Amino acid sequence: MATKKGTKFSEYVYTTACPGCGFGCGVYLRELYPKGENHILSIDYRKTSPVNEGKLCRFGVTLADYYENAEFCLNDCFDDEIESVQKEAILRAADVLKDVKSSEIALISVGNTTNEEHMAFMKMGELLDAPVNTGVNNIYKDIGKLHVYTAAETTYEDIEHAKTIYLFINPYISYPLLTRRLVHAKRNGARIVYMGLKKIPIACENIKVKPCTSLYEVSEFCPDSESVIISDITPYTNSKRLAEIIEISKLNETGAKLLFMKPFVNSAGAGHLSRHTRQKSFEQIINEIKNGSIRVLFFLETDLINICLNPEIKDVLKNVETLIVMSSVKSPVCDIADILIQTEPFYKKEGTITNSEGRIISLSACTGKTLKTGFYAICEIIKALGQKPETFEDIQKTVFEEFKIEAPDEFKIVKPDVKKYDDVKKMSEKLEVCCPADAPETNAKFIYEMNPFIWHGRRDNNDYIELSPEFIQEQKLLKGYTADITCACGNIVKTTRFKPSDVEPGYIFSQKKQPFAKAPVAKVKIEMTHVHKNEEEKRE
Amino acid sequence: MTKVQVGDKLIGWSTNEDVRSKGGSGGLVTAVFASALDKGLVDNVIILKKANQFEAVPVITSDVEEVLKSAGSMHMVISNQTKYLRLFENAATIAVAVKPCDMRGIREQQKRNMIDPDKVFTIGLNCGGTMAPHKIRGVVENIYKIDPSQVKGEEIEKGNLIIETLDGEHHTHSIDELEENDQGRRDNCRYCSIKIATNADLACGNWGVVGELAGSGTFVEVMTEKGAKFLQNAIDSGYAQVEPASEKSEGIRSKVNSVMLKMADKTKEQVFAAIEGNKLEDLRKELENCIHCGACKEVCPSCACGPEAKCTLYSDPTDDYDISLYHLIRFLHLSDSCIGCGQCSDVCPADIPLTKLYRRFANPIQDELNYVPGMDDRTPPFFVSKLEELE
Repeated sequence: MATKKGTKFSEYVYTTACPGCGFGCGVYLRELYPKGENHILSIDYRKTSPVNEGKLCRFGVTLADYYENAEFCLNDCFDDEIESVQKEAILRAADVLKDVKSSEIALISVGNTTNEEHMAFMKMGELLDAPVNTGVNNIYKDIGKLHVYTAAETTYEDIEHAKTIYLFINPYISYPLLTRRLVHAKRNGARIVYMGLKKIPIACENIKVKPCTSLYEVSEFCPDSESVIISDITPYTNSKRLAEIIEISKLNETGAKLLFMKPFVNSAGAGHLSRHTRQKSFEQIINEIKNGSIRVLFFLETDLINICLNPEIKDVLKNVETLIVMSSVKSPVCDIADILIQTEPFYKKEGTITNSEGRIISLSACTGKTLKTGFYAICEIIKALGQKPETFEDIQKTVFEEFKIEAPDEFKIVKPDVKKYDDVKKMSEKLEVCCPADAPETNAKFIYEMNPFIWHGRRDNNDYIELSPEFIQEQKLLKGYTADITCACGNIVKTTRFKPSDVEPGYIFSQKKQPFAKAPVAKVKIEMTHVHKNEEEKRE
Repeated sequence: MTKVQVGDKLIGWSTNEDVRSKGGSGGLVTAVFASALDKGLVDNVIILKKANQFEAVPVITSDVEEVLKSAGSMHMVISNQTKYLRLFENAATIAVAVKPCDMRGIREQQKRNMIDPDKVFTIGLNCGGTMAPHKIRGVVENIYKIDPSQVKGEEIEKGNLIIETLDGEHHTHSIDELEENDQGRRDNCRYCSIKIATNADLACGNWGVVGELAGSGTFVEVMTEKGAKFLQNAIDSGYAQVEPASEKSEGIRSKVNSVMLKMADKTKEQVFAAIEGNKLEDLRKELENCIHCGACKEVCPSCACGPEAKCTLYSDPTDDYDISLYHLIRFLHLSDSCIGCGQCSDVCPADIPLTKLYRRFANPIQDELNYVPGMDDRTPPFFVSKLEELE
């Protein structure tokens, strides 16, 4: 800071939520302004948040860096004073949307923004007769009426009082703030059973469950009324596994509680608000882009280049005639957008989000002022499309009605009043197992451990793979050297560092998006390379 | 006219009636800060901005009126003034109220050239301990059966946790009983050995304020020349009034402190009883749920290292050691300078009792080296190349 003596400061502190995942961690974002200079951004720990009590994972701890490196400079863009450059982009977007058929438009909002912005986007979608896709509703479609059991019913506190906890996700990696709830549960005498292919220290029992194994064949999975089952719903959730979890716990009337974690800060809110819309899966949308039936793609705070595991997605997106991106962060999709509408960073937004438990959390300013630039940008499009937009207050009222609340209270859990069907039937038998086809030239199966760094395309110190010591020995890999991983098709090779870990032999895990794996589970080939890891780092 | 000198023990209060009634113990701290800003002794003052009944965030201001408006005790609030001060990179003069542990952190940063002592003026506040905000909210709701939104303030006095509600009622409960069920003060506060911030420029608090001044006066001990100057400024500019503390007042203050310290010593003995069995296995078990977030390093008031520190550079995520080198290096690196403030435990997402672990390493080292970090200007022992020079 090249500030002279006598500098006076001003400061804004925002009471917000970490955008890393759908856990809903409370955090303060602090903007410190030395007079006449750029602001310094830092975090402060929000210890009264009932969600995380001031604790944050690695993503949250480095949140200031995330915003510093990714945010657009819109500090002077207050409320409805949308900058002229923005107005031009908004009008261009409206012109494009006017000129295409509704079937040629795809609107996508995965839940990286407030309930209010998402609802305004839905209103715009209604006007265009195009539903807002959240990326997960195709999974609900797969599991049919079983989806009624995926609604929020379990709190993080419930975990602490469970007798048995069945874990289908690695809490340390995917939703790190779950860890302390599990620590408390274990202290209270809970038996924690991890269903996966990696041994995790918090678990009392680590049960080997392969991606293609049917849960009906796993005798250790026997939930009862004192159990909590923790899994997640993401664009990559295996519908068959999801259906089996629900069938075994709910159709058998075990009384077990289900907690489905969500990947984006407002996945739960967006999912709830968009629950009645007829949506397409990402795969379907991508296919329709490829065959030319989708001409206009509109992303609201969504970057499929980050989210999709397939590295070819960038080229696919270039096929759409007009790619409209409304974003508060500089992410890869912004670079290829035909129309880019910049909005205020998430931490400055006014409105609410809903976390995986079903808490409606208000985003506010402790000092300073929250913004509604993104909301007003959508309203401007609605106006340009010829309809009078609703006010923020009206939209918020609709949101509250959807959640059946009068005002948000983060200390209360909102359990959506979902209709239970009498004739919910087993679906899992009809669903396919998502296992990669056999490829004789491969020798390992690769599994992604999804986490906030992957969802947001952020770099971390996680560029390595994990594999078992037995597998390392078998493949003659040497400590301090690297390994070559080749995709099943043999075209993509990456040299990477590796870590011996307590994983099932023959399996490879990664917390980072890898070019050789386009799916959550993929077949790959691993071989020793004679590059020392330090040399590899130098090369990079 | 009063001439304030180092070593003076006085009772003071704000001359502004509003500040005096609203402020904690007579609003002296607010008066000293407002006058310092008004007369140009500092460019900025750090005040606490209330976020809710149980939490406040430090914010900076150069507005005298805002300082006066901020009057009101929020001493139970846990903030990290040391790390907050570092954000300013010594670009301005700043006045701040601190708890003893905050001040210890500031002093350790000063020794490492991170905070310029000439740029900071500190008022230390007596501290019998703090409570985690989420915990105190739960206690209020479940033990006191009070609507949390009705809480005005809280105080630990004569072995009780007193909750004051907006209707002026005081609700009490034995702090010992609460602590038996882990519903009281933070663990580290229970064995903290510094209750009066004599390491600050002025050491203030309500202990020893008796008679008519009880509740409307602050006991202040002048610890440094700078402290004397700032208090003199408050008096001379008409913001504050003082009178000498009586022997009785001094005696009561000292007695309260000594009772608190005895309780802390007793707790310390219990908490740090020798570990039976395999110490290394015990340590491994405690750390096994670490998610490598790095928050403990980020918040540590004694740590002056940047992102490329020994603890981060010598540990690699591809290592598969039973105990990460990150923690082992930090335990050793901080064993001379850990102040036991509890910030690391507060932010740990795996609820690892980090402060207790750090203290297990620090207690014997600091005892052996006869060093109490953050209490004076002494060079940290690990800065001295030959340990025998310390003797």
